[in-house]
Order: sequence, then C-alpha cells, then structure tokens
Amino acid sequence: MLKEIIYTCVSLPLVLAICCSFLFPVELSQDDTINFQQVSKLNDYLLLDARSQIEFNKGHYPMAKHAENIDQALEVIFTLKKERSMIVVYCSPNCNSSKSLAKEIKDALEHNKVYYIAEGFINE
Amino acid sequence: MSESFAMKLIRLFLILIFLISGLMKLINIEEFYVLLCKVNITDIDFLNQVLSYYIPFLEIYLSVMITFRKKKQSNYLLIALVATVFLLFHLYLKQAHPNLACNCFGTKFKFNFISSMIINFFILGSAYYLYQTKILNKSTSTKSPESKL
Repeated sequence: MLKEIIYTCVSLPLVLAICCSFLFPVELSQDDTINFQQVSKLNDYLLLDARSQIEFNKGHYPMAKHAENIDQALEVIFTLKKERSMIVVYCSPNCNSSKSLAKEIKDALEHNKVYYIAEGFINE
Repeated sequence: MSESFAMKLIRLFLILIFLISGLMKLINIEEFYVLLCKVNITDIDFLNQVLSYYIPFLEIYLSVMITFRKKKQSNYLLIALVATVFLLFHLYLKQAHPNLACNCFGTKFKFNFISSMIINFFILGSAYYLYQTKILNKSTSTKSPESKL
C-alpha cells in the first residue's frame, strides 16, 4: 500500500511538474502587489523605498532602505546580501516608480520574488 | 438511498472538487506560485516552481485515478493524506500569514477559513469512508459498509 502511494505521488504528477517548471517557468506579472501588513509578517525580506532622499528622510517604513533607481537598489541588495530574499519596493501613493523599479530588479536578479506595495507609503 | 448510490455521490464529489481545484490552479498558476513565494516555504525558486505545478497535477491525477480506478484503496488513502496536508497547511497559513488568502480551491473560488476547513474535513471524511468501505468490501461481503463507521 505504501509503495503504491509513493509511486502515485512521485510518478506522473512529479515528472510533469518538473518538466513544466523547465519548459514553462512561472513569470510574475508586474501587477503583482503586496501590502505592508503582509510584508510585516514575512521573515526574510528587503524593503526598498523608491522615493526621493528628502521624502525618505521625512519618514519611511521601519527597516526600509533608500533606493531611487536600479543602481542604488542593486548596491543595497548586494551589500546586504539579499539577492535571494523577497524584495519589496514602495514609493508615494499613486506613483509608478515602485512598480518599474520592481520590474528592473526582477530582470536584473532573474528571480521572481520581487513585489511592490501598491498603496505606497502612508505616513500615519 | 442505496449505499452504492451514496458512494457514487461521494466519489463524484471528490472527482469534481479535485478536478476543478487542480484545473483552476493550473489556469491561474501565477497566482498560486505567488502564494507559495509569499508563504516562503523554501528559498529555492525552482522548488516553488515545481511545487506550484505539482499540487494541481497531483489533484488532477487523483481525480482521474478515482474515476477510472475506483476500486484501488491506495487512491482513497492518498486523498485522505493530501486532505490532511492541506488542512495542516491551512492552519499554518491562518497562524503565520493571516492576511494571505489560501486559494486552496483555485483563485476563482474565494472561501473563508471556516468554509475551507469544513470542505477539507468533508474531503477527509469522504476519502476515509470510501477507503474503509473498500476494505470492508474486500474482506467481507456480508457486513454493511456503513456499520463500520
């Protein structure tokens, strides 16, 4: 019985899953967003603030690092050795820089765990 | 209602729920993959990719197996095991990531925590019932399958 169960589990579904992962790797669309409550529940992540330095100095989310463009973002990521961690980018409410920066980071690092906070930074 | 009809209904329920949830996950594989990434089960991206394909394929495979090989007991035991794993995953999700939607039955069907738990328990009970019934049918033909429940 146990042999049959193991065979069922590892036979066709697993072979298909591995083949599909090679042939059709899942790509995240840039519509993928995350909110700050979800971010705060994560264990290993890097929070990037894509606003200007002046706005960042006025206030930012706890643990956030400033990175206005892809070069600054990559510098922070590599300095903190967060290449394989989940990376979350935010900017001001209704801005697009976090979305575009998230896409650039995703392309540069070639991994999919890059998100942006759609509602942006809300100073409470 | 005859016993065989009840068994057919339960099997049909299992077939439909596994087939639909597997297909829904495959259709919207990206969302399911995002869920796995957010849960952060593993840091290895390829494993997340494999898992996001493996779970829907396993669900579809199980629905096909209980459609065409309905007398095989190991299928029902495997469904019970899968349902148990899903239950534990659901409880973990509720505890560790309360803001994340489970998407346990695909992204098209949004069930709350209680509804998902009830469905999971029903799957578990159904699979166990069919497993026990098959065993009883195999060991003795005189006893009623429901008498053992």
